[in-house]
Amino acid sequence: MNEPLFIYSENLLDYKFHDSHPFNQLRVKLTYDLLKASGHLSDTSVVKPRKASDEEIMLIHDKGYIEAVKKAGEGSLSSDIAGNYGLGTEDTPSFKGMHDAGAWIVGATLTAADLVMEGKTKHALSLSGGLHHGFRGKASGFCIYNDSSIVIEYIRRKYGVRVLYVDSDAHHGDGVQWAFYDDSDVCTLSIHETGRYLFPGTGNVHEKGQGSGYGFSFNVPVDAFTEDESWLHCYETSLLEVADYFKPDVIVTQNGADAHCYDPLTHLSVTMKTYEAMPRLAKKIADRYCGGRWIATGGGGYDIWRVVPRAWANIWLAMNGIQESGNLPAEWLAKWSRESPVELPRTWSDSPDIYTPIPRKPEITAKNEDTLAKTLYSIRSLKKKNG
Amino acid sequence: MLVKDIMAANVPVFKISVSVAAAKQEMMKQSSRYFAAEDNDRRWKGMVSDIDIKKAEESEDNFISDIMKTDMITAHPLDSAEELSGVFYQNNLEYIPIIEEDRIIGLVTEKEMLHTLVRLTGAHQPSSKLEIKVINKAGQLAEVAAIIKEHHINIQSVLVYPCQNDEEKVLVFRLATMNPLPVIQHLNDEGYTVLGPVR
Repeated sequence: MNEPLFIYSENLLDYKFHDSHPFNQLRVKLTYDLLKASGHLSDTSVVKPRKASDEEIMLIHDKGYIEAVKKAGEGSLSSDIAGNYGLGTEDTPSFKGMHDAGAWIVGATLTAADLVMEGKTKHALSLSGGLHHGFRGKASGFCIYNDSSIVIEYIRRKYGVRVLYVDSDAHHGDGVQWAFYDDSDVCTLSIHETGRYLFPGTGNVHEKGQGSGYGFSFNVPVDAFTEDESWLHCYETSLLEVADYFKPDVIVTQNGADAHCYDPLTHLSVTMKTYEAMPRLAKKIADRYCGGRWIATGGGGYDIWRVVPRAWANIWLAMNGIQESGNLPAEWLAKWSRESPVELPRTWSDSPDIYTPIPRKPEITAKNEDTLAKTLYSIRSLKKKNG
Repeated sequence: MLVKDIMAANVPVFKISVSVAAAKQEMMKQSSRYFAAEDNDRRWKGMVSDIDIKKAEESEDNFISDIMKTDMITAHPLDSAEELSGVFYQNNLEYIPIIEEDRIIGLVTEKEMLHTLVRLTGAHQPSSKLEIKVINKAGQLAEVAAIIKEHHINIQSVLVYPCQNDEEKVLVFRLATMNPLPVIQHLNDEGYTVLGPVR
Protein backbone atom coordinates (compact mmCIF):
# COMPACT_ATOMS: atom_id res chain seq x y z
CA MET A 1 0.00 0.00 0.00
CA ASN A 2 3.00 2.28 0.16
CA GLU A 3 3.37 2.72 -3.58
CA PRO A 4 2.44 6.29 -4.53
CA LEU A 5 -0.20 6.60 -7.26
CA PHE A 6 -0.31 8.81 -10.35
CA ILE A 7 -3.73 9.86 -11.67
CA TYR A 8 -3.70 10.13 -15.43
CA SER A 9 -5.66 9.66 -18.61
CA GLU A 10 -5.55 11.53 -21.88
CA ASN A 11 -9.03 13.03 -21.48
CA LEU A 12 -7.61 15.26 -18.73
CA LEU A 13 -5.93 17.14 -21.58
CA ASP A 14 -9.32 18.23 -22.97
CA TYR A 15 -9.25 21.28 -20.67
CA LYS A 16 -8.12 23.54 -23.48
CA PHE A 17 -9.29 27.10 -24.17
CA HIS A 18 -7.59 27.67 -27.54
CA ASP A 19 -4.19 27.29 -29.20
CA SER A 20 -2.68 30.61 -28.11
CA HIS A 21 -3.96 30.54 -24.50
CA PRO A 22 -1.15 30.43 -21.89
CA PHE A 23 -2.86 27.60 -19.97
CA ASN A 24 -1.89 24.40 -21.80
CA GLN A 25 -2.42 20.94 -20.33
CA LEU A 26 0.04 19.43 -22.77
CA ARG A 27 2.40 20.00 -19.82
CA VAL A 28 0.71 17.12 -17.97
CA LYS A 29 1.47 14.78 -20.87
CA LEU A 30 5.03 16.14 -21.12
CA THR A 31 5.54 15.33 -17.45
CA TYR A 32 3.98 11.87 -17.79
CA ASP A 33 6.22 11.20 -20.78
CA LEU A 34 9.33 12.42 -18.98
CA LEU A 35 8.67 10.11 -16.04
CA LYS A 36 7.98 7.19 -18.38
CA ALA A 37 11.14 7.83 -20.39
CA SER A 38 13.24 8.09 -17.26
CA GLY A 39 11.91 4.76 -16.01
CA HIS A 40 10.33 6.15 -12.86
CA LEU A 41 6.67 5.58 -13.70
CA SER A 42 5.36 2.06 -14.17
CA ASP A 43 1.90 1.28 -15.55
CA THR A 44 0.92 -0.28 -12.23
CA SER A 45 1.33 3.13 -10.53
CA VAL A 46 -1.05 4.88 -12.93
CA VAL A 47 -4.73 5.11 -11.99
CA LYS A 48 -7.42 6.32 -14.35
CA PRO A 49 -9.60 9.13 -12.94
CA ARG A 50 -13.36 9.17 -12.63
CA LYS A 51 -15.49 12.13 -13.63
CA ALA A 52 -16.91 14.25 -10.79
CA SER A 53 -20.70 14.37 -10.46
CA ASP A 54 -22.63 17.66 -10.37
CA GLU A 55 -23.33 17.02 -6.66
CA GLU A 56 -19.61 16.81 -5.97
CA ILE A 57 -18.90 20.02 -7.88
CA MET A 58 -21.74 21.61 -5.87
CA LEU A 59 -19.76 21.03 -2.66
CA ILE A 60 -18.22 24.39 -3.61
CA HIS A 61 -19.94 25.80 -6.70
CA ASP A 62 -23.47 27.15 -7.20
CA LYS A 63 -25.88 25.09 -9.25
CA GLY A 64 -26.61 28.11 -11.45
CA TYR A 65 -22.93 28.46 -12.25
CA ILE A 66 -22.61 24.79 -13.22
CA GLU A 67 -25.63 25.17 -15.51
CA ALA A 68 -24.01 28.25 -17.08
CA VAL A 69 -20.73 26.35 -17.68
CA LYS A 70 -22.68 23.52 -19.32
CA LYS A 71 -24.52 25.96 -21.59
CA ALA A 72 -21.33 27.87 -22.42
CA GLY A 73 -19.75 24.57 -23.49
CA GLU A 74 -22.69 23.99 -25.84
CA GLY A 75 -22.44 27.51 -27.21
CA SER A 76 -25.91 28.40 -25.95
CA LEU A 77 -25.09 30.99 -23.27
CA SER A 78 -25.51 34.67 -24.20
CA SER A 79 -22.35 36.71 -23.80
CA ASP A 80 -23.99 39.08 -21.28
CA ILE A 81 -24.91 36.27 -18.93
CA ALA A 82 -21.59 34.49 -19.51
CA GLY A 83 -19.76 37.64 -18.41
CA ASN A 84 -21.52 37.57 -15.03
CA TYR A 85 -20.04 34.10 -14.45
CA GLY A 86 -16.55 35.09 -15.64
CA LEU A 87 -17.07 32.93 -18.73
CA GLY A 88 -16.38 33.92 -22.32
CA THR A 89 -13.64 36.28 -21.12
CA GLU A 90 -10.03 36.50 -22.33
CA ASP A 91 -8.92 34.46 -19.29
CA THR A 92 -11.60 31.76 -19.41
CA PRO A 93 -13.04 31.72 -22.92
CA SER A 94 -15.86 29.27 -23.55
CA PHE A 95 -14.94 26.08 -25.38
CA LYS A 96 -16.83 23.01 -26.49
CA GLY A 97 -17.39 20.53 -23.68
CA MET A 98 -15.89 22.78 -21.02
CA HIS A 99 -18.09 21.38 -18.27
CA ASP A 100 -16.97 17.81 -18.94
CA ALA A 101 -13.31 18.86 -19.20
CA GLY A 102 -13.57 20.61 -15.82
CA ALA A 103 -15.52 17.74 -14.22
CA TRP A 104 -12.85 15.22 -15.25
CA ILE A 105 -10.15 17.30 -13.58
CA VAL A 106 -12.19 17.56 -10.38
CA GLY A 107 -12.78 13.79 -10.60
CA ALA A 108 -9.05 13.17 -10.97
CA THR A 109 -8.28 15.06 -7.78
CA LEU A 110 -11.17 13.33 -5.94
CA THR A 111 -9.78 9.97 -7.14
CA ALA A 112 -6.43 10.89 -5.61
CA ALA A 113 -8.17 11.84 -2.35
CA ASP A 114 -10.12 8.60 -2.06
CA LEU A 115 -7.02 6.48 -2.71
CA VAL A 116 -5.15 8.29 0.06
CA MET A 117 -8.01 8.50 2.57
CA GLU A 118 -9.00 4.85 2.11
CA GLY A 119 -5.44 3.76 2.77
CA LYS A 120 -4.75 2.39 -0.71
CA THR A 121 -1.67 4.60 -0.84
CA LYS A 122 0.00 7.31 1.21
CA HIS A 123 0.70 9.78 -1.59
CA ALA A 124 -1.29 10.47 -4.75
CA LEU A 125 -0.62 12.96 -7.55
CA SER A 126 -3.26 14.70 -9.70
CA LEU A 127 -1.25 16.99 -11.96
CA SER A 128 -4.15 18.24 -14.07
CA GLY A 129 -5.71 19.77 -10.94
CA GLY A 130 -4.83 22.67 -8.67
CA LEU A 131 -7.21 25.19 -10.28
CA HIS A 132 -7.16 27.37 -7.19
CA HIS A 133 -8.69 30.62 -8.57
CA GLY A 134 -12.19 29.30 -9.26
CA PHE A 135 -14.92 30.93 -7.13
CA ARG A 136 -18.29 29.67 -5.95
CA GLY A 137 -20.14 31.30 -8.82
CA LYS A 138 -17.41 32.65 -11.06
CA ALA A 139 -14.56 31.47 -13.25
CA SER A 140 -11.33 33.35 -12.67
CA GLY A 141 -7.65 33.19 -13.62
CA PHE A 142 -7.96 30.31 -16.14
CA CYS A 143 -9.91 28.19 -13.60
CA ILE A 144 -13.48 26.95 -14.12
CA TYR A 145 -14.08 24.45 -11.31
CA ASN A 146 -11.87 24.74 -8.24
CA ASP A 147 -10.81 21.12 -7.70
CA SER A 148 -8.58 22.21 -4.79
CA SER A 149 -11.53 23.63 -2.83
CA ILE A 150 -13.83 20.79 -3.83
CA VAL A 151 -11.39 18.08 -2.72
CA ILE A 152 -10.88 19.76 0.66
CA GLU A 153 -14.64 20.04 1.31
CA TYR A 154 -15.05 16.44 0.07
CA ILE A 155 -12.41 15.11 2.47
CA ARG A 156 -13.86 17.13 5.36
CA ARG A 157 -17.39 15.78 4.85
CA LYS A 158 -16.59 12.21 3.88
CA TYR A 159 -13.72 11.52 6.26
CA GLY A 160 -14.17 14.22 8.94
CA VAL A 161 -10.52 15.20 9.09
CA ARG A 162 -8.58 18.45 9.36
CA VAL A 163 -6.81 19.58 6.20
CA LEU A 164 -3.68 21.66 5.67
CA TYR A 165 -3.64 23.25 2.21
CA VAL A 166 -0.23 24.42 1.01
CA ASP A 167 -0.13 26.55 -2.13
CA SER A 168 3.24 27.39 -3.71
CA ASP A 169 1.88 28.74 -7.00
CA ALA A 170 3.35 32.18 -7.85
CA HIS A 171 -0.22 33.56 -7.70
CA HIS A 172 -2.17 33.81 -4.43
CA GLY A 173 -4.50 30.81 -3.86
CA ASP A 174 -7.48 33.13 -3.47
CA GLY A 175 -10.34 30.77 -4.39
CA VAL A 176 -9.31 28.23 -1.76
CA GLN A 177 -8.55 30.84 0.89
CA TRP A 178 -11.97 32.52 0.61
CA ALA A 179 -13.81 29.15 0.46
CA PHE A 180 -12.49 28.20 3.91
CA TYR A 181 -11.86 31.65 5.36
CA ASP A 182 -14.17 31.11 8.36
CA ASP A 183 -13.34 27.43 8.89
CA SER A 184 -10.97 26.33 11.67
CA ASP A 185 -10.75 22.75 10.34
CA VAL A 186 -9.04 23.86 7.15
CA CYS A 187 -5.76 25.73 7.38
CA THR A 188 -4.50 27.46 4.24
CA LEU A 189 -0.90 28.51 3.63
CA SER A 190 -0.06 30.34 0.43
CA ILE A 191 3.39 31.58 -0.61
CA HIS A 192 3.32 33.75 -3.71
CA GLU A 193 4.59 36.86 -5.44
CA THR A 194 3.18 40.01 -3.83
CA GLY A 195 -0.02 41.33 -5.39
CA ARG A 196 1.62 44.72 -5.89
CA TYR A 197 1.42 44.08 -9.64
CA LEU A 198 0.52 40.40 -9.99
CA PHE A 199 -2.91 38.79 -10.25
CA PRO A 200 -5.06 38.36 -8.19
CA GLY A 201 -3.73 41.17 -5.99
CA THR A 202 -4.82 39.55 -2.70
CA GLY A 203 -2.84 37.33 -0.31
CA ASN A 204 -1.61 39.98 2.08
CA VAL A 205 -0.08 39.09 5.43
CA HIS A 206 -3.08 40.54 7.26
CA GLU A 207 -5.56 38.13 5.59
CA LYS A 208 -5.74 35.72 8.53
CA GLY A 209 -9.26 34.32 8.38
CA GLN A 210 -12.46 35.40 10.08
CA GLY A 211 -14.85 34.22 12.79
CA SER A 212 -13.85 30.79 14.02
CA GLY A 213 -11.43 30.55 11.08
CA TYR A 214 -9.38 33.49 12.36
CA GLY A 215 -5.75 32.46 12.62
CA PHE A 216 -6.09 29.59 10.13
CA SER A 217 -5.19 31.47 6.97
CA PHE A 218 -1.52 32.24 6.31
CA ASN A 219 0.00 34.25 3.49
CA VAL A 220 3.64 34.87 2.62
CA PRO A 221 3.68 37.41 -0.22
CA VAL A 222 7.29 37.64 -1.40
CA ASP A 223 8.85 40.43 -3.45
CA ALA A 224 9.25 40.27 -7.22
CA PHE A 225 12.62 38.78 -8.27
CA THR A 226 12.89 36.59 -5.19
CA GLU A 227 15.49 33.83 -5.75
CA ASP A 228 15.81 30.20 -4.59
CA GLU A 229 17.46 30.86 -1.27
CA SER A 230 14.91 33.34 0.04
CA TRP A 231 11.88 31.57 -1.51
CA LEU A 232 12.91 28.24 0.02
CA HIS A 233 13.64 29.83 3.36
CA CYS A 234 10.13 31.32 3.40
CA TYR A 235 8.52 28.08 2.22
CA GLU A 236 10.37 25.81 4.64
CA THR A 237 10.05 28.04 7.69
CA SER A 238 6.35 28.74 7.18
CA LEU A 239 5.43 25.13 6.36
CA LEU A 240 7.33 23.71 9.35
CA GLU A 241 5.83 26.19 11.80
CA VAL A 242 2.28 26.13 10.42
CA ALA A 243 2.22 22.32 10.32
CA ASP A 244 3.48 22.12 13.88
CA TYR A 245 0.83 24.61 15.00
CA PHE A 246 -2.12 23.08 13.09
CA LYS A 247 -1.20 19.38 13.28
CA PRO A 248 -3.19 18.33 10.20
CA ASP A 249 -4.61 14.87 9.44
CA VAL A 250 -3.90 15.22 5.72
CA ILE A 251 -2.00 17.62 3.47
CA VAL A 252 -3.20 18.91 0.11
CA THR A 253 -0.51 20.72 -1.88
CA GLN A 254 -1.01 22.91 -4.93
CA ASN A 255 2.22 22.82 -6.91
CA GLY A 256 2.02 25.65 -9.43
CA ALA A 257 5.36 25.83 -11.23
CA ASP A 258 5.15 29.46 -12.28
CA ALA A 259 7.61 31.03 -9.83
CA HIS A 260 10.47 29.91 -12.09
CA CYS A 261 12.54 32.69 -13.68
CA TYR A 262 11.51 31.45 -17.15
CA ASP A 263 7.77 31.81 -16.45
CA PRO A 264 6.33 34.51 -18.71
CA LEU A 265 3.45 35.60 -16.43
CA THR A 266 5.26 36.26 -13.15
CA HIS A 267 8.31 38.18 -11.90
CA LEU A 268 10.08 35.70 -9.64
CA SER A 269 13.57 34.26 -10.10
CA VAL A 270 13.61 30.74 -8.68
CA THR A 271 15.16 27.76 -10.49
CA MET A 272 14.71 23.99 -10.49
CA LYS A 273 16.47 23.92 -7.11
CA THR A 274 13.23 25.18 -5.56
CA TYR A 275 11.12 22.56 -7.36
CA GLU A 276 13.45 19.79 -6.18
CA ALA A 277 13.27 20.91 -2.56
CA MET A 278 9.59 21.84 -2.04
CA PRO A 279 7.91 18.44 -2.58
CA ARG A 280 10.57 16.73 -0.48
CA LEU A 281 9.68 18.92 2.48
CA ALA A 282 5.96 18.39 1.85
CA LYS A 283 6.55 14.64 2.05
CA LYS A 284 8.51 15.01 5.26
CA ILE A 285 5.67 16.99 6.83
CA ALA A 286 3.05 14.47 5.63
CA ASP A 287 5.11 11.62 7.07
CA ARG A 288 5.65 13.45 10.37
CA TYR A 289 2.09 14.65 11.06
CA CYS A 290 -0.32 12.80 8.79
CA GLY A 291 0.85 9.20 8.65
CA GLY A 292 2.05 10.07 5.16
CA ARG A 293 -1.37 11.23 3.83
CA TRP A 294 -0.55 13.67 1.03
CA ILE A 295 -2.59 14.65 -2.01
CA ALA A 296 -0.65 16.74 -4.52
CA THR A 297 -2.00 18.65 -7.51
CA GLY A 298 -0.48 20.74 -10.27
CA GLY A 299 -1.47 24.38 -10.73
CA GLY A 300 -0.07 27.28 -12.73
CA GLY A 301 3.00 26.95 -14.93
CA TYR A 302 3.25 28.72 -18.27
CA ASP A 303 6.67 27.70 -19.53
CA ILE A 304 5.35 24.27 -20.35
CA TRP A 305 8.56 23.12 -22.12
CA ARG A 306 11.53 24.18 -20.03
CA VAL A 307 10.00 24.35 -16.54
CA VAL A 308 6.82 22.42 -15.84
CA PRO A 309 7.81 18.85 -16.89
CA ARG A 310 10.92 18.80 -14.72
CA ALA A 311 9.26 20.64 -11.82
CA TRP A 312 6.23 18.33 -11.71
CA ALA A 313 8.28 15.17 -12.29
CA ASN A 314 10.07 16.13 -9.09
CA ILE A 315 6.83 15.83 -7.07
CA TRP A 316 6.54 12.21 -8.20
CA LEU A 317 10.24 11.59 -7.57
CA ALA A 318 9.89 13.05 -4.06
CA MET A 319 6.87 10.81 -3.37
CA ASN A 320 9.00 7.82 -4.36
CA GLY A 321 12.11 8.95 -2.51
CA ILE A 322 14.13 9.25 -5.72
CA GLN A 323 16.66 11.98 -6.46
CA GLU A 324 17.47 12.64 -10.12
CA SER A 325 20.45 14.53 -11.48
CA GLY A 326 22.44 14.62 -14.67
CA ASN A 327 20.93 14.44 -18.12
CA LEU A 328 17.28 14.17 -19.08
CA PRO A 329 16.41 11.00 -21.00
CA ALA A 330 17.52 11.26 -24.64
CA GLU A 331 14.31 9.64 -25.83
CA TRP A 332 12.19 12.41 -24.27
CA LEU A 333 14.44 15.16 -25.62
CA ALA A 334 14.41 13.68 -29.10
CA LYS A 335 10.64 13.29 -29.14
CA TRP A 336 9.71 16.73 -27.84
CA SER A 337 12.52 18.88 -29.24
CA ARG A 338 10.70 18.70 -32.56
CA GLU A 339 7.56 20.25 -31.05
CA SER A 340 9.08 22.77 -28.66
CA PRO A 341 9.39 26.38 -29.83
CA VAL A 342 12.26 26.90 -27.36
CA GLU A 343 15.40 24.88 -26.78
CA LEU A 344 14.73 22.22 -24.15
CA PRO A 345 16.99 21.99 -21.11
CA ARG A 346 19.37 19.00 -21.23
CA THR A 347 19.64 18.35 -17.49
CA TRP A 348 17.34 17.82 -14.51
CA SER A 349 18.84 20.77 -12.66
CA ASP A 350 19.31 24.38 -13.77
CA SER A 351 22.68 26.01 -13.88
CA PRO A 352 22.72 29.04 -11.52
CA ASP A 353 23.53 31.42 -14.39
CA ILE A 354 20.26 31.03 -16.29
CA TYR A 355 19.28 34.57 -15.25
CA THR A 356 21.25 37.75 -14.78
CA PRO A 357 22.04 38.62 -11.16
CA ILE A 358 19.40 40.59 -9.28
CA PRO A 359 20.90 43.89 -8.01
CA ARG A 360 18.25 44.27 -5.27
CA LYS A 361 18.90 40.81 -3.80
CA PRO A 362 19.86 41.96 -0.25
CA GLU A 363 16.87 44.31 -0.07
CA ILE A 364 14.48 41.63 -1.39
CA THR A 365 15.81 39.03 1.04
CA ALA A 366 15.44 41.39 4.00
CA LYS A 367 11.92 42.38 2.95
CA ASN A 368 10.86 38.72 2.66
CA GLU A 369 12.32 37.97 6.07
CA ASP A 370 10.23 40.78 7.52
CA THR A 371 7.09 39.48 5.78
CA LEU A 372 7.72 35.94 7.04
CA ALA A 373 8.06 37.17 10.62
CA LYS A 374 4.72 38.99 10.30
CA THR A 375 3.01 35.91 8.83
CA LEU A 376 4.20 33.69 11.67
CA TYR A 377 3.85 36.28 14.44
CA SER A 378 0.64 34.81 15.90
CA ILE A 379 2.05 31.27 16.01
CA ARG A 380 5.34 32.38 17.51
CA SER A 381 3.77 34.52 20.23
CA LEU A 382 1.40 31.68 21.14
CA LYS A 383 4.36 29.33 21.42
CA LYS A 384 6.20 31.80 23.63
CA LYS A 385 3.16 32.15 25.89
CA ASN A 386 2.79 28.40 26.28
CA GLY A 387 6.51 28.03 26.93
CA MET B 1 -20.64 56.26 -2.54
CA LEU B 2 -22.69 57.54 0.38
CA VAL B 3 -22.27 57.19 4.12
CA LYS B 4 -25.43 55.02 4.28
CA ASP B 5 -23.70 52.51 1.99
CA ILE B 6 -20.68 52.05 4.24
CA MET B 7 -22.04 52.45 7.79
CA ALA B 8 -22.73 49.62 10.20
CA ALA B 9 -26.43 49.73 11.07
CA ASN B 10 -27.95 48.43 14.35
CA VAL B 11 -25.83 50.29 16.86
CA PRO B 12 -26.40 48.87 20.37
CA VAL B 13 -28.24 51.33 22.59
CA PHE B 14 -28.53 52.26 26.29
CA LYS B 15 -31.22 54.51 27.67
CA ILE B 16 -29.64 57.53 29.34
CA SER B 17 -31.45 56.59 32.57
CA VAL B 18 -29.70 53.20 32.82
CA SER B 19 -27.29 52.90 35.73
CA VAL B 20 -23.60 52.26 35.10
CA ALA B 21 -23.87 49.05 37.12
CA ALA B 22 -26.62 47.72 34.86
CA ALA B 23 -24.72 48.84 31.78
CA LYS B 24 -21.70 46.87 32.94
CA GLN B 25 -23.80 43.73 33.20
CA GLU B 26 -25.45 44.30 29.83
CA MET B 27 -22.16 45.12 28.13
CA MET B 28 -20.78 41.65 28.95
CA LYS B 29 -23.34 40.14 26.56
CA GLN B 30 -22.33 42.39 23.67
CA SER B 31 -19.23 42.40 21.51
CA SER B 32 -19.59 46.07 20.55
CA ARG B 33 -17.10 48.73 21.48
CA TYR B 34 -19.42 51.72 21.06
CA PHE B 35 -22.92 52.26 22.43
CA ALA B 36 -25.45 54.96 21.68
CA ALA B 37 -27.32 56.75 24.47
CA GLU B 38 -31.00 57.59 23.87
CA ASP B 39 -33.79 59.22 25.84
CA ASN B 40 -37.21 57.64 26.33
CA ASP B 41 -38.41 59.05 23.00
CA ARG B 42 -35.52 57.30 21.23
CA ARG B 43 -33.82 60.61 20.56
CA TRP B 44 -30.04 60.30 20.28
CA LYS B 45 -28.23 62.01 23.14
CA GLY B 46 -24.62 60.81 23.00
CA MET B 47 -22.18 57.90 22.93
CA VAL B 48 -20.35 55.73 25.45
CA SER B 49 -17.53 53.31 24.73
CA ASP B 50 -16.92 49.97 26.46
CA ILE B 51 -13.91 51.56 28.13
CA ASP B 52 -15.96 54.53 29.43
CA ILE B 53 -18.36 52.07 31.05
CA LYS B 54 -15.62 49.85 32.48
CA LYS B 55 -13.84 52.84 34.03
CA ALA B 56 -17.00 54.46 35.42
CA GLU B 57 -17.82 54.22 39.11
CA GLU B 58 -20.66 51.88 40.07
CA SER B 59 -22.34 54.20 42.54
CA GLU B 60 -26.12 54.38 42.87
CA ASP B 61 -26.40 57.81 41.32
CA ASN B 62 -24.11 57.24 38.34
CA PHE B 63 -26.05 56.89 35.10
CA ILE B 64 -25.26 56.65 31.40
CA SER B 65 -26.27 60.31 31.10
CA ASP B 66 -23.41 61.17 33.48
CA ILE B 67 -20.67 59.44 31.52
CA MET B 68 -21.75 59.82 27.89
CA LYS B 69 -19.95 62.04 25.39
CA THR B 70 -22.34 64.65 24.05
CA ASP B 71 -20.40 67.24 22.12
CA MET B 72 -19.62 65.09 19.09
CA ILE B 73 -19.03 65.33 15.38
CA THR B 74 -21.78 63.41 13.58
CA ALA B 75 -22.60 62.74 9.94
CA HIS B 76 -25.74 62.34 7.84
CA PRO B 77 -26.46 59.12 5.89
CA LEU B 78 -26.50 61.09 2.63
CA ASP B 79 -23.04 62.62 3.15
CA SER B 80 -20.44 61.32 0.72
CA ALA B 81 -18.01 58.66 1.89
CA GLU B 82 -15.00 60.58 0.51
CA GLU B 83 -16.03 63.65 2.53
CA LEU B 84 -16.33 61.53 5.66
CA SER B 85 -12.75 60.31 5.31
CA GLY B 86 -11.67 63.96 5.39
CA VAL B 87 -13.64 64.50 8.61
CA PHE B 88 -11.92 61.48 10.21
CA TYR B 89 -8.50 62.77 9.17
CA GLN B 90 -8.95 66.40 10.23
CA ASN B 91 -10.49 65.66 13.61
CA ASN B 92 -8.51 62.58 14.55
CA LEU B 93 -11.66 60.54 15.21
CA GLU B 94 -12.08 56.86 16.05
CA TYR B 95 -15.70 56.71 14.94
CA ILE B 96 -18.57 58.90 13.75
CA PRO B 97 -22.24 58.36 14.71
CA ILE B 98 -24.63 58.66 11.76
CA ILE B 99 -27.67 60.71 12.75
CA GLU B 100 -30.91 61.28 10.89
CA GLU B 101 -33.64 63.46 12.43
CA ASP B 102 -32.44 62.97 16.03
CA ARG B 103 -32.15 59.19 15.63
CA ILE B 104 -28.92 57.24 15.43
CA ILE B 105 -29.13 54.93 12.41
CA GLY B 106 -25.55 53.76 12.11
CA LEU B 107 -21.89 54.10 12.93
CA VAL B 108 -18.75 54.34 10.85
CA THR B 109 -15.49 53.39 12.54
CA GLU B 110 -12.01 54.24 11.33
CA LYS B 111 -11.61 50.59 10.34
CA GLU B 112 -14.71 50.64 8.12
CA MET B 113 -13.58 53.92 6.60
CA LEU B 114 -10.23 52.40 5.66
CA HIS B 115 -11.88 49.28 4.27
CA THR B 116 -14.14 51.47 2.13
CA LEU B 117 -11.15 53.26 0.65
CA VAL B 118 -9.52 49.89 -0.12
CA ARG B 119 -12.71 48.82 -1.88
CA LEU B 120 -12.70 52.03 -3.89
CA THR B 121 -9.26 51.08 -5.24
CA GLY B 122 -10.71 47.74 -6.41
CA ALA B 123 -8.01 45.83 -4.51
CA HIS B 124 -10.46 43.22 -3.20
CA GLN B 125 -11.35 41.83 -6.66
CA PRO B 126 -9.06 39.41 -8.53
CA SER B 127 -7.05 41.58 -10.89
CA SER B 128 -3.63 42.41 -12.30
CA LYS B 129 -2.41 45.92 -11.59
CA LEU B 130 -1.02 48.04 -14.40
CA GLU B 131 0.68 51.39 -13.78
CA ILE B 132 1.12 53.53 -16.87
CA LYS B 133 3.05 56.78 -17.04
CA VAL B 134 1.39 59.31 -19.35
CA ILE B 135 1.90 62.95 -20.35
CA ASN B 136 -0.19 65.32 -18.23
CA LYS B 137 -2.65 66.41 -20.89
CA ALA B 138 -6.30 65.86 -21.81
CA GLY B 139 -7.42 62.57 -23.35
CA GLN B 140 -4.66 60.24 -22.13
CA LEU B 141 -6.96 58.15 -19.93
CA ALA B 142 -9.39 57.65 -22.82
CA GLU B 143 -6.60 56.58 -25.18
CA VAL B 144 -5.21 54.01 -22.77
CA ALA B 145 -8.70 52.74 -21.94
CA ALA B 146 -9.39 52.33 -25.67
CA ILE B 147 -6.33 50.08 -26.01
CA ILE B 148 -7.51 47.95 -23.07
CA LYS B 149 -10.94 47.74 -24.67
CA GLU B 150 -9.41 46.29 -27.84
CA HIS B 151 -8.26 43.34 -25.71
CA HIS B 152 -11.78 42.77 -24.33
CA ILE B 153 -10.56 43.03 -20.76
CA ASN B 154 -12.82 44.34 -18.02
CA ILE B 155 -11.46 47.23 -15.94
CA GLN B 156 -12.12 46.70 -12.20
CA SER B 157 -10.97 50.17 -11.13
CA VAL B 158 -8.94 53.19 -12.20
CA LEU B 159 -6.92 55.69 -10.20
CA VAL B 160 -5.10 58.73 -11.51
CA TYR B 161 -2.02 59.68 -9.50
CA PRO B 162 -0.13 62.93 -9.81
CA CYS B 163 3.61 62.47 -10.51
CA GLN B 164 6.44 64.28 -8.74
CA ASN B 165 6.71 66.54 -11.76
CA ASP B 166 3.84 68.41 -13.42
CA GLU B 167 4.57 67.03 -16.89
CA GLU B 168 3.41 63.49 -16.15
CA LYS B 169 0.74 61.42 -14.42
CA VAL B 170 0.43 57.76 -13.50
CA LEU B 171 -2.73 55.85 -14.43
CA VAL B 172 -3.38 52.79 -12.29
CA PHE B 173 -5.68 50.16 -13.76
CA ARG B 174 -6.88 47.00 -12.11
CA LEU B 175 -7.66 44.58 -14.92
CA ALA B 176 -9.71 41.40 -14.64
CA THR B 177 -7.11 39.19 -16.24
CA MET B 178 -4.28 36.93 -15.16
CA ASN B 179 -2.48 37.59 -18.43
CA PRO B 180 -1.86 41.32 -18.96
CA LEU B 181 1.11 40.64 -21.30
CA PRO B 182 -0.70 41.35 -24.60
CA VAL B 183 -2.00 44.68 -23.26
CA ILE B 184 1.42 45.64 -21.91
CA GLN B 185 3.00 44.81 -25.26
CA HIS B 186 0.39 46.88 -27.07
CA LEU B 187 0.89 49.88 -24.74
CA ASN B 188 4.66 49.67 -25.16
CA ASP B 189 4.22 49.56 -28.93
CA GLU B 190 2.13 52.74 -28.70
CA GLY B 191 4.94 54.45 -26.81
CA TYR B 192 3.52 54.34 -23.27
CA THR B 193 5.74 53.56 -20.28
CA VAL B 194 4.28 50.67 -18.30
CA LEU B 195 5.80 50.57 -14.82
CA GLY B 196 6.64 47.18 -13.35
CA PRO B 197 8.59 45.59 -10.53
CA VAL B 198 12.27 46.59 -10.31
CA ARG B 199 14.99 43.95 -10.40
